[in-house]
Amino acid sequence: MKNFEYLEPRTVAEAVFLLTEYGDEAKVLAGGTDLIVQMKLKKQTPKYLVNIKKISDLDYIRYDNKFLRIGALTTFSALAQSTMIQENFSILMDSVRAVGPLQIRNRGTIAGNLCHASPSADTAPSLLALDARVKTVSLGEERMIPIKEFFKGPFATCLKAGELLTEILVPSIPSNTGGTYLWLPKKTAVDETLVGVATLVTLDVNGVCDDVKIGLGSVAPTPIRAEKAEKLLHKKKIEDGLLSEVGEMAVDEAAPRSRAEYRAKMVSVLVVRALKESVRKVVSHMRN
Amino acid sequence: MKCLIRLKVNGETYEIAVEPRKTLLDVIRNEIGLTGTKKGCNMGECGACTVLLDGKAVCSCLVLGVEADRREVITIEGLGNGVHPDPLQEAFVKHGAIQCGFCTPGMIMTARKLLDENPSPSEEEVREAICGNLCRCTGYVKIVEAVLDVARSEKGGRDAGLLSHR
Amino acid sequence: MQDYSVIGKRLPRLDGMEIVTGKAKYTDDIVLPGTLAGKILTSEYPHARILHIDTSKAEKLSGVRGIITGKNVPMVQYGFANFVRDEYPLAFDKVRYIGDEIAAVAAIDEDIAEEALDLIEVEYEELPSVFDPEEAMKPGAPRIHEHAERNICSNHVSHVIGDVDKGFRESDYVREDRFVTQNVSHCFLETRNCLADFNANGELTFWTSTSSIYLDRFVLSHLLKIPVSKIKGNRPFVGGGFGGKGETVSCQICAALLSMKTGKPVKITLSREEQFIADRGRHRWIFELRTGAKKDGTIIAKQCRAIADAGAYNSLSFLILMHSVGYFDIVYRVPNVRYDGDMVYTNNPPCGAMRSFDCVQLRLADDSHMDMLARDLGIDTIDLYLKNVSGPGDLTASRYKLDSNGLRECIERVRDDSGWRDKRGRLPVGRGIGFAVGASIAGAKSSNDDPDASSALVKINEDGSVNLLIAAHDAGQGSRTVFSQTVAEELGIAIDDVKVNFVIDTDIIPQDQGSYASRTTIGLGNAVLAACRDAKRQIFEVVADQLHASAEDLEAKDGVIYLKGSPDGRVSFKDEGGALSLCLTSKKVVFPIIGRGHFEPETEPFDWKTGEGNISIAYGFTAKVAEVEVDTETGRVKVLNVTSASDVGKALNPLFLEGQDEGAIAMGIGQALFEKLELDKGQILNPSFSEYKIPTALDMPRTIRSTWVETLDPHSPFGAKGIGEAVIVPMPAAIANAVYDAVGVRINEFPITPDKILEEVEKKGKLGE
Repeated sequence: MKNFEYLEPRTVAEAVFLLTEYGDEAKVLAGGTDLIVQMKLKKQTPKYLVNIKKISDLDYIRYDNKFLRIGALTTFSALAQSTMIQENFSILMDSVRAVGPLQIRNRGTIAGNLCHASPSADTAPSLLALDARVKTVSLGEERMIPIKEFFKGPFATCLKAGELLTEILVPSIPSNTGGTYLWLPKKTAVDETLVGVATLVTLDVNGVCDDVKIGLGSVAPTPIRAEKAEKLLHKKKIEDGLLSEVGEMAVDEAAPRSRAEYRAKMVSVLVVRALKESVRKVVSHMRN
Repeated sequence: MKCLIRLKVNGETYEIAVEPRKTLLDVIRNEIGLTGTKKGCNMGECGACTVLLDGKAVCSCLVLGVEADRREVITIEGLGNGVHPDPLQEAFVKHGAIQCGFCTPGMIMTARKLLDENPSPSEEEVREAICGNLCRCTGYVKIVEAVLDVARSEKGGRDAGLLSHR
Repeated sequence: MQDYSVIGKRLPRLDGMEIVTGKAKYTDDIVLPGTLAGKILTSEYPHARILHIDTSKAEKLSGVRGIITGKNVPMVQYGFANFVRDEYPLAFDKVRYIGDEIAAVAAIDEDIAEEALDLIEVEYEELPSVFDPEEAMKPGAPRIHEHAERNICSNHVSHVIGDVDKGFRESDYVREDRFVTQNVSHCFLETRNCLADFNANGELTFWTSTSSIYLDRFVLSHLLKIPVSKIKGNRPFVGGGFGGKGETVSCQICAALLSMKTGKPVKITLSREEQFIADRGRHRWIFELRTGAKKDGTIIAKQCRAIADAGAYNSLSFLILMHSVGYFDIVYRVPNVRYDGDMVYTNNPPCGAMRSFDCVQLRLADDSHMDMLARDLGIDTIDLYLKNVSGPGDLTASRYKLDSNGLRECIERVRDDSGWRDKRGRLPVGRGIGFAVGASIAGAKSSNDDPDASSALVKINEDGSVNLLIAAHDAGQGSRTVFSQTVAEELGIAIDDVKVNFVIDTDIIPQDQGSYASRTTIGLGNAVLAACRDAKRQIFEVVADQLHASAEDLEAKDGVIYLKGSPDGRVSFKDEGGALSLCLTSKKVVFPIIGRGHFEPETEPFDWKTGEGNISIAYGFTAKVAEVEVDTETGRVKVLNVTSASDVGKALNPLFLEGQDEGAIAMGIGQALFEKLELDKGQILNPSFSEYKIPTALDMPRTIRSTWVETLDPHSPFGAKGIGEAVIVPMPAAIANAVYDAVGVRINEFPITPDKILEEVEKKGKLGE
């Protein structure tokens, strides 16, 4: 690893000041599960490493029935242990479960996962389906960025130099809604995600699809929404024939590079499976 | 420039000047001299360097030494008390859950954490918990057996009001 | 069967507590004051001439203490056998693969050594390169070594028995298949390393993670021109080997050279990425198989054309080709056999020895081929094997003498234990069951010109405790413990009274060539037995006087020495007034009583042109059945359960045997389904555990049934045979055959990935056809 200067701000303002001061030469250290690896590989060689973990008020999970708010320093383990998320945002919990083994979950943060902007980030498809947004702070400015606009390319986000992601906001899920995240690992059970699909389905009392959102991971330069596929289901009853059409449409919207043919097939398989599972959840919920 | 850090490892406090680029793993092994924690990949992919940092299982190769300032670390040498090993350590020997032994310290730390949090895990829960600890020798069969065996006996002990030393 | 007190028991490892408490020292855990860190610069080109190396900038970097290049190291070649030596410690004229070692740096810490590597400037002239063995054999292909015409390592191998052409003509049915296997990496968790310390007396001390500390000492002596008496090798605990630590490699030699240059201890520990690049794992083989059989399944002729990619250096490749010949014959009785094989140099990283010496690839191809043949003939695969299986006392076509051979019992056992008869052909689509067999040498030479001896010392102390001094290269197999059991059994004492050395120090511990070729159980086992008998003889002579008997009529068991067949003639071994008290007052012996044991197996050297010769004193056998579930939409394979039976001769410690088998099953699953070193123009694309994946606890079947067949090999201690290699052999083929049974497709290029399964399924049109 190249040497660097290590900085430990105690407040968001101090962190933002340092990030502004050092610009591109600075990197934010949160969980470190991606960044430390990148630095060892010399793919990242920051001159200044800004450890934000000593900022006291960024590690929280709050829900006020309108928004779920997740502080930037919340680890995957903390999310995994939240019964509130399990009960109210099970689709997000599915995503959290897809994230690496215990040791990684104990360090890695959901905000870090988003900022690393890997196309295969497991939380991204669910957050896309949930219409989440992220709150950022920079010198004298706060922004609220819809997650859909956050990713700009593989390992690239819309964050500017000096801008710090401080919170993830997830709007509450309407009633009669079921969500699922399904993923296939590249090879073994503990592996980077090859294809990840999140679906969130809202049905009316007649079982007609009121709203549907489909988030895809690892099949395009960034995590994406399959909006054309979503449209096919709008105000329709979800049936097998239509589902496979939706799966095929999602394939069209995806643009996988390596193992492209297989990944494309899997988009269709997982979209269909995830939609069925989401519908099953709504229906069983309605029955209860 | 080196930074002065103060950390507690297995109950002992150490004050050490470290370069920020040195990982906690390097600090534990090279500065403190506790070599039970192993470097298998140095990239957070094999789990051989697993230690408990403020009670959480982490890959010490993905933590900078400076981040451990004013924090508490437990390594394999901190289990049991030197004379009486931890039940997991005994069970790993008894069940043949060790072969080359290089993954063993990290594996035991992960398993210890599991049993502390979930005293009666199912086989699947044990496998889930240790899935970040790679072993090339055993096929994990006897490791899983050893952990489940300790869970059974510790549960028995707990129910009978024993195990107060833990 | 004989009744044993200690042998055959599920005893735990004697060195276990060291390991689980973190006290066991591995090479990288050993620190000498003032130790420098070494790093090696390797080639970025697959094939290039080195025009110039400029180390001046690196030398000026603060903290750098010494740099060596091919120009200032001994120009001596090394390698396993005289006629195939083709490597220098550092490349000096040209580089032959991406990773070929060029220079090495010693600095005050690893980060500085790494920075120094970036400052070394190497000027190359790129040469045309070749990466495919079939291309490399064609006329006009770039020549990688001056001595190797058409890039063939050593020589073409041709093994012919009977008349295969006639055999095929006489067959009712002939089937042909082509299979291609992949490069597989060892992935031991402890990377290769060496700590070397050269002193002012001209003596070299080194510590290293190795399967053969004496071979390392031999190579270092040969290269550095230091007599072996002045080289002290230490083998501490070792974090896995699987065949990948049996060869002396550049990092060991460079550590020694850098210590000689700087006068300071130097430690080199490969990073995981460096290990993937330097690792000499399994070869990529191309097998073209042809088998002719009668309608009833009797095999008349078998033919194999094998071409393997050796990579840039020979390493152990040619020897592996020799073994491949024998492994083609070993499991069947076939009158007509032809095997043609070539090991071919390319500009890929070199391959070497890995668990089973590549028998696993050959059997993966042949057992897949035979499964198809059985289906074509409408015969159950297991019945086909039982009809043709080799047996005890057989002399195979390549002259292997199978004095003990329990393969038939192994096959019948897994057939019955797995429920094969109820499941084969009766499982729903997506579920399948597959079978395969395996075999391995169990005690062979590393080459024709190396010694293959094993020695042991047993030291009996006045209090009846015993020190066993042996070079058991135990990397987890449990050999230290098993040989302590051997001592306890043979001397009739408790295992708690036996103390065995955990570290091998070549100055003190009697020589054994190392842990490879599954040779330890028989080689060192016989040496330990001989040492015990030598010590016992000395005690018996004293006891015999007391009992007025002949020493030959005495036996030791359960703490007592007694006269065979006489209930009264007995003395305790160590109690007051017992055998050792007698020895203390006797003039016939002095304490400690030292027993010396030595063993060298009677094997035949290979004929290098044909691969024929009985190179092992015994052979191990195994059969496995795997049951899988294939997700027909995603192509993902889940191994549900494995049933295994192995002819181990005699189970010395079932706990360790199960451990070997279970570990081999995991490794076999990885090889069958996802492990592959991805190469692009000689560059390894996945040199990390995040991209080269090995099985985790979640990838393993939840049910594994490991059992033994005991055939009591006549050459072996208690009849036991080494089995660590054989057990992996059938695993990938059993899975391949189970996948076929599940979804009706055959993947001819391994590993069997979901992508390939779906592609083949689609080609077939519909399932279950």
